[in-house]
Amino acid sequence: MDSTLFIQLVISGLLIGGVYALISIGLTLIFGVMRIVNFAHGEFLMFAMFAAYWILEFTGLSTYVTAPLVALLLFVFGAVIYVLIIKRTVGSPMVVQIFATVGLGLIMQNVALVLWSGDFRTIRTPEASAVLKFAGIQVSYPLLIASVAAIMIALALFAFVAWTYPGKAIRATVQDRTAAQLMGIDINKVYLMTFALGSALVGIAGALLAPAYPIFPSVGTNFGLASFVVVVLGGMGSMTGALLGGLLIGLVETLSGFFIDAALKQAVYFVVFIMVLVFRPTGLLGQRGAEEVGLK
Amino acid sequence: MKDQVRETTASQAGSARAKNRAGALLRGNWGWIALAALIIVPIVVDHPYYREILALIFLWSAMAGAWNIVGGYAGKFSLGHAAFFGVGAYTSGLLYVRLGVTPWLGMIAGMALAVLLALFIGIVTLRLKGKFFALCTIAFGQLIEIMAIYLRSTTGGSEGLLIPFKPGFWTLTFSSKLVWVYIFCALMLLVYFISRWLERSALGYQLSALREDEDAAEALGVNTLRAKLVSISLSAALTAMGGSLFGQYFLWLEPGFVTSLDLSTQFALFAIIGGMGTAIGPILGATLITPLQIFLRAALGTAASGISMLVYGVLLVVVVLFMPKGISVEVGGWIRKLSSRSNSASVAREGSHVA
Repeated sequence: MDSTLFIQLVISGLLIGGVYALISIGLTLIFGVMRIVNFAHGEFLMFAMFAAYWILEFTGLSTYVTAPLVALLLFVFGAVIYVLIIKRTVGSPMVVQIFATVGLGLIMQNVALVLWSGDFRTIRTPEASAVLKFAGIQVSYPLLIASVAAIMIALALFAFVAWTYPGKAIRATVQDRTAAQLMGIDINKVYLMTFALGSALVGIAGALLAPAYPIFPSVGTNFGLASFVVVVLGGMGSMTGALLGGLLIGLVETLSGFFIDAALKQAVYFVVFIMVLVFRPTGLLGQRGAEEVGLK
Repeated sequence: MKDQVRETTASQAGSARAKNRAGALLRGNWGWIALAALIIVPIVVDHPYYREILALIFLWSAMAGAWNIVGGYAGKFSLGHAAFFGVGAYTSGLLYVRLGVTPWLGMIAGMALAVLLALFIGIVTLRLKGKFFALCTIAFGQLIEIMAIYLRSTTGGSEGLLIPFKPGFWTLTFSSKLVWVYIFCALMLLVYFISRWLERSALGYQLSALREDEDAAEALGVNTLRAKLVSISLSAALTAMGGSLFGQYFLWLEPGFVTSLDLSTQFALFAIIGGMGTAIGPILGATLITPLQIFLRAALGTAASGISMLVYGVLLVVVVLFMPKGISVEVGGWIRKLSSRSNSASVAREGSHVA
């Protein structure tokens, strides 16, 4: 096998990995702060992709331009969902924590099905199919943008958490919920902000992915599952873990798709997922949350 | 005065005893009345459409009840039970279609395979709790679905596996819907009585101990590993049994349905809405929701197939947030409250009489 092909495979894998990382950052943020696994995460992504699609249909504005607007829409949507549903699940029995968002996912997926039908929709803009070429290696333009965005968003989130007051409130809450409360931090507000922010991040992801993938009501299922794999592999709640996990899963998927069988590439990452849960449930970089996987 | 009081207490005790006896008689007979209804109703309902609804109610009740054995009693929320359902359906279906083995044997083989898979999952997920267990079972469910699609030459891939229609006892294929209604009804009763037995057995108490606090149960000498493995195996075997029967009823297996995440979610959803950790809850859940889905589909056509799942989702969220113990426990609580109020009211009335 020649080296160009191998480099091409690695680069494609890293680009898909960037996409996975981009989707996973919001999920890991929400888990890290609130200890909530949002089983409807993929459906949030799907809503964002549809939002970007419809804005493009009506205004003709590129999804790259409208990404901030989609993020804002998802921010508001996330805040509403927090008030209506998520708020009641914090600290509730496990059945509530799991099945409230499972139900939410069902609702969102089928609202999309009823409103927009099950048709595949694609965005046909010049940049959607653009490919950069150098030295015989092809790089998909939308995937490159998504990957770069993933890194930038992770950096921005780091800066936000490290240097701003709300960021400090989030860190304090993560370290010790009760102590933070005693220091006058409104936990409810921190959670509201975290959930809305996590939703906004998946909003950006949706807008950036809209040109690269077909859009349909159950598009979120596979992306959602992939982001669970990424977040568990990287370590629940770890930003760097989400980046690293995303890139690794992208590589695993692409290489196993090529060397084993394209139909089995998902199976390979599910096997990786199970093995991580079994042998290193804290993931590569995660430490917190270990008590919930029985390690204490 | 004293005599009068003694007399009233005696008569009160007498009337209470009579009431108890009547209650016991009624309670003892409730089961028989229900059983008679289960036998008679399918005969009376002489219409293929309504018999289909009955068959599905019984099947989904049984599957929700099987999920409940591990989800409700042991508190391990699986989102991968379609894996067991699919293993059961494909094992008997493939043995029958490819090798001509009678589905009765195939069903047993499917149950055995499902138990092996369950033991593997149980051992692998030993340390996982709550959402992590749920995530891991999703992964197993997805793996089974991917394999069912991938092994195209054997399973027929995503187009599915057609099972030939040759009515007969050994082919486990019947042209009469009534037979199927009774088969699924028997499956439901099997799951129900296993659940009732479980509630009173040592295993049942061990499961509820480990559901409430796994470490404490372990400290008290409960063999939590054994309890977990037995419950998940039992649940898997019953689910696989349902899968085999489902395949013989519909004569078509499609990975997108029999091994799907949506199906896994449905099993859990019926049990949770009806009431987890009770024998009757899953039956109630499936009985309430299955007809709803069918009627909605009939009323709105396939174009609005999303509506029924949408209603499922709304029900699930509402029940989980506002009555997390499920409808059966909630409604049971109301009834008990009402009857105790009327009881105390009557006692109070009698008391005032004495004064």
